[in-house]
Amino acid sequence: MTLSSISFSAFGQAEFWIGVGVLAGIYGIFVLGLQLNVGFTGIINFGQVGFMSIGAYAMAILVLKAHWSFWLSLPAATAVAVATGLLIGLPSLRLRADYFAIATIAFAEIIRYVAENARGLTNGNIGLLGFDSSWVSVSNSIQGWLSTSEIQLPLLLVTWGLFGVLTVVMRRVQGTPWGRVLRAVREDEDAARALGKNVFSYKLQSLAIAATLGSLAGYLLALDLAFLSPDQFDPSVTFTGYAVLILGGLASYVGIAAGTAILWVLLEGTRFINLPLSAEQIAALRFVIVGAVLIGLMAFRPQGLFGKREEMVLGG
Amino acid sequence: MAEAAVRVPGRGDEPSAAADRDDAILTVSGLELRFGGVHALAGTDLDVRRGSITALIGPNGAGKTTLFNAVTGFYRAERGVVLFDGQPVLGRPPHAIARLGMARTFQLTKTLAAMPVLDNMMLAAPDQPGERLANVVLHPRRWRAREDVVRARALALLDTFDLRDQAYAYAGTLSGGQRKLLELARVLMLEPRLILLDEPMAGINPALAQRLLEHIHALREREHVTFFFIEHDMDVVMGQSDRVVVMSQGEVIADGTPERVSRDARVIDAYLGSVEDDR
Amino acid sequence: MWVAASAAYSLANDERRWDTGEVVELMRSVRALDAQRGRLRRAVGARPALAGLAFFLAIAIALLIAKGANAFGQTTVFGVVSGSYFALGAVGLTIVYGVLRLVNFAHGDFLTFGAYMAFVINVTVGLPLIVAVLFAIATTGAVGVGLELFMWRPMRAKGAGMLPLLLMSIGLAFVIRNGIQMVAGTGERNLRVNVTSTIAFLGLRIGRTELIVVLTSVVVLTLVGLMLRFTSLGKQMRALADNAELAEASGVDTNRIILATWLLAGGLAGLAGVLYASAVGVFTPDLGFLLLLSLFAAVILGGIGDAYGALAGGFLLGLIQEWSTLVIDARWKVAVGFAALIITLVLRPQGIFGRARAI
Repeated sequence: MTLSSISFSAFGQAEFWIGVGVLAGIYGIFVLGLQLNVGFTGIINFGQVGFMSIGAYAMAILVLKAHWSFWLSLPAATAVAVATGLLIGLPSLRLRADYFAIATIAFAEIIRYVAENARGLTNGNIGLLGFDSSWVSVSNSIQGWLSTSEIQLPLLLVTWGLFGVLTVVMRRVQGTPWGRVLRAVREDEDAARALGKNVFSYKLQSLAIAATLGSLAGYLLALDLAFLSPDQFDPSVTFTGYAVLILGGLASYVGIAAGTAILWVLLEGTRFINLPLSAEQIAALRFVIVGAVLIGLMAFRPQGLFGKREEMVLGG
Repeated sequence: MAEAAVRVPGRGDEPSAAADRDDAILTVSGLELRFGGVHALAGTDLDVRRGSITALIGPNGAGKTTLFNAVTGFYRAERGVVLFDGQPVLGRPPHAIARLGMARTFQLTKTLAAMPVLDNMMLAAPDQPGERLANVVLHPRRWRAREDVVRARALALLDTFDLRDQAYAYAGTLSGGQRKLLELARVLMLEPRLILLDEPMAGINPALAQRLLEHIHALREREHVTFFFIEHDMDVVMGQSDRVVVMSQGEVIADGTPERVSRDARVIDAYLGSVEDDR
Repeated sequence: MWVAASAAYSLANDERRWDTGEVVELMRSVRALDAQRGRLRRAVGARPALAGLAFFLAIAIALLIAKGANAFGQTTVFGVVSGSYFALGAVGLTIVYGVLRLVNFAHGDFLTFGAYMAFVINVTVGLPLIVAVLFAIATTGAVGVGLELFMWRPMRAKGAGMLPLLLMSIGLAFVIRNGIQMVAGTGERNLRVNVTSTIAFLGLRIGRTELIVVLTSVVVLTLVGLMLRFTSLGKQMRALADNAELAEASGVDTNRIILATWLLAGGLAGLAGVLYASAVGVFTPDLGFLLLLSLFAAVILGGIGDAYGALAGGFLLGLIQEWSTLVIDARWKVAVGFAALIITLVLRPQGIFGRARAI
């Protein structure tokens, strides 16, 4: 966060933009889950950051407190996130869309309070460190192969590689009969029911997959920062995700990559404009931008950059 | 589901009706449903004969659509028995009932506007293994093969209903009448034995209505599909149906051939009495 | 201690009578139908409300016996204090939902806005707090009206659906909160209020400022309740909340009522922000954001869209949060409120008084 003294050497810039790229990729994976929920199933999940938080914390806790292998803790932590998704979805997916939105944001906030207050497990606001040694050694060998001095380059490659693969997978799955049922649920639950589809089950599956994607984004964020603390998972993460989602366009997986790249360049680019602002003010400005992007898109281009206007079902 | 199961034995206690019900594809007895304190269905009893085209008529607010919703599982009836093809269906969720072979359409068409017409059709096909996530991943060939079959059938049906040219257009671009046709065509993808149509002729031009009726008759002849439909147009009711069921205030007040029903004093009474209530 | 909650509850009961009586007067065209609906709602609604109240009474008595009168009484006092600004914030949030079907995620930041407006007058300019309060109410109300004119009305005219409006309100929340942060910084601020002197009564302590906050809130909420019940404006507001099409058909000037709704909601939010800042002593730009979910909890406890419900829900939430500290560590009390929100949504989405429509 050394904003006043940005060095414009090539090295400094590369490192900076690699960091931005990692974040953008993490948000991309995060938003794939939102796209599935909001863009293709019509369920307004405002608690996606909760799954991210659970994934990251479960992984770190398994490694640090239960002394699990890092690689084994990853699927286990995803399983925890999915189980939580089912737990929250079972009672609340029957609710009206706006109630569900409120229930999910409350869920994510409860998770954050737990992370803050269950100090025995999470160290509270002091945070967790040292869960990533397995990754660091892998990262170092990748760095060796690439013979680069950029520490974050391996993570950037892994993040965008995973994001790319997941985007392709989600797109393909969306094109199957399963994805077709989701789209029917998105548009008219009663019509889907009348055609013999178990609407509730599909919504639950959608939420479970979003939880999976959220947990993946959570690991990557944990590896990126090498540190976990509750305030990394406040609701503004989810809503920054929504800005990415809407920017890219509802019902478009490919749009997410563009959305996340544009938003993060926009957010981080503010650092290069010589504004007479303090670090604190710049941090605030970034969220003003997120807010303005949301308002502007909703007002003038609700389908985003790549969304299909015909499929703006929730946009009315 | 448990509730329905408990009630099944009750059916055996009514031997008097049994003979008559042998050829009934749908049997409703003692169906009750209240909204707050108002009886929307006050012990409704009726049969729909297999292979018939049965009309359901009655003044506004008689409970016709409510009956459809209760029979197809969209509303939860409080009491009564609904047998579809001898199977109790009350308490089952709507999607399970649809899969049994009792399909329905809605008063306001529920075509999926944000999906192409062809997707609307293919969505309705039963037994698509690709609708399960596990099969999508593990058995891609199986669902693709099924998809080919489904697509061929969907296109054939769209041909029959003169919608083939619109197959790849978003359903939202269709005219009101075309949507009605699409909804009927789509419901046929389910391969149902009984179709409940809620005002299929409302809001479409006479030529299209005529075509819709022809389709209904043809389907009955060729595929032995039974039709049970709500209709306000008396010419259609009297001219096209084999049997007519008349509802008023949540009860069936008459039931029989169109000729018999049209002479029934209670029916005439119900309709005349309701004139002032009508919009 | 029960006065506020039971006053709110009796108002809630009164409203049920209003439903059969006044709606009829307002909308002659649907007299029979509405009377029926009112009777229905009364029959259905009466018992769950009693059951809910009995449940909380039982918990209260159990806590009273288990933890002793003093501890219980003191947490109850704290609960009423926080309940008084929860209720003020929640009433505005719920009225906006009722009239516009808009879940306004920026409502919490209206509170923040009010608190900072009061700060400007009270601390920067140095005028008395009462002037600051009035200024906060006026400016926050004006923000509500301005946003209606420049944002919400055009969006409604476009026929925007639920998701765009939700996201727009979230965007607005970001802009307001961080806009304030850009100008005022993240540092803790405080109004010029006396936060040290306390008043003891029957062994219970309450801060002098806290007492003023509670009294102000009760007076204002009573006035709002009376306004909604007896004035033509209030009746039209509730008619619109009850059935927008019907109200419009019977000659309610929708746009005027919506503007009044935003003015009221904004004004109440501004006041709630100042009261919060005064009662707690310090505040940051996160004030409203941190309170927002609690306001949702109050709204949903009372049944979304129901002003009297939100009022009761606000005090109830305050009590639930503070009573929970008798049983578990105080740092969980906010999460307890969120849990109450989720549990209510799952078990009784129509609210514990069971009267909100259209679940």
